[in-house]
This record gives sequence, structure tokens and C-alpha cells, in this order.
Amino acid sequence: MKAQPNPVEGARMSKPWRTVLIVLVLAFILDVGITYLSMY
Amino acid sequence: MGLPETFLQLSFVEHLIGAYRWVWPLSEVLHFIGLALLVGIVTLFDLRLLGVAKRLPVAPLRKLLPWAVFGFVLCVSTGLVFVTGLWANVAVHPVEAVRIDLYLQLKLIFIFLAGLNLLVFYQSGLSRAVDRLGPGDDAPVLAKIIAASSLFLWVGVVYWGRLIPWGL
Repeated sequence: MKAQPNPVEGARMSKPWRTVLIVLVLAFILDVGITYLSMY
Repeated sequence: MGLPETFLQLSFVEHLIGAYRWVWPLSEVLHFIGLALLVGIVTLFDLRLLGVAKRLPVAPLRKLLPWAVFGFVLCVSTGLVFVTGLWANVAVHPVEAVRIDLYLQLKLIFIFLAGLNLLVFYQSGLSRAVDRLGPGDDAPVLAKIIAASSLFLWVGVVYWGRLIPWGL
């Protein structure tokens, strides 16, 4: 089978990965924020 | 508090933990293996629904679900060892731990919310709609919101679980 060029390669981060990253960053900001507030 | 002294506290589990040094660490190991199975497989589903690795059809991924359920059973049973035998490890009554440990409370709340999220996924008929997704198909927006919530909540469950000792 002929190798297909990867359309994502070299392009900006694809949309699903942006969503995943945003969810993970939000989760950590909330969790770490609550931890910080609970410890001081 | 009006609760019986033995509520959530099982003396035979305390005895096991006290008599055999390997009971607690082995429970920890099994807890983590269960966690890897459960959160790993759930994350795989969530990522696919959000549009990552879209060439994977969803229906065959279902074959992994019994392993996630097995992981959950492992986590709950070993988690019960930690709770019911807590006194033998850190001399805190389990009821007191649930009352004072913010991180344990948050973990339980997040697990409850993740369960609620799953219930909405099945009750709304979304799970059936998602089952029909073939290679390259995009999931409905509501399924994506549920997948994102699931990812958010399970990160929290792992996070708060690790912090439980600091809340005691």
C-alpha cells in the first residue's frame, strides 16, 4: 500500500489534542488550586 | 456521632494488616494495577470520543470495558482494605477520616460525579449512538462533553487519591 502523507505533520496542533490539553490543564489548575487553598 | 464504634472499621482487616506486613503494600500494588486498568481504558474511550485516533471504530473498543470494570472492582476492594483497616496503619478511625480528610471527601465526590456522568452517557442513549461510530466518524457534541468531563473527573480521582495521607 502506498504511504499516505500525514496531514497533521508540521501543522498546528490538531483540534482534539487542544481540547484534551485544555481539559487536563483545567483539571490540574482546579486540583492544585484547591490543594494550595487547603494547606495555607 | 451516634455511629456504632465498628462502622467502617473491621477488626479482622486490622488484624491482617497488623499481623502481616505485606497486606498493606500488596493492597497498594493491586490498587494501582486496578487504577491503571480503569483509568487507562476510560481515557482511551474519552480520547477517541474527543476525536483522537479517529480511525479507530468505537464498537470493538467495548471489548476492553470488562477489564475496566475488573480494574474498578480491584480498586474498590483494596480501597476498602485501606479504609476498614486504617486504624492499624495510622491510628485514625475511618469515620473520623471521612469526616476530616478533605482529599478523601473530594475523591469520593469525584467518583460519584464520574458515576453520574456514566449514567447520563448510558441513559441518554448516547452510548448506543457512539457504538455506531465507524473509522473516521465524529462523536456527537454531547458525547464529547461527557468524554471531557470524564477525563477531568478521573484526573481528579487519581489526584485526590494520592493526597489522602496529607489530609489525615
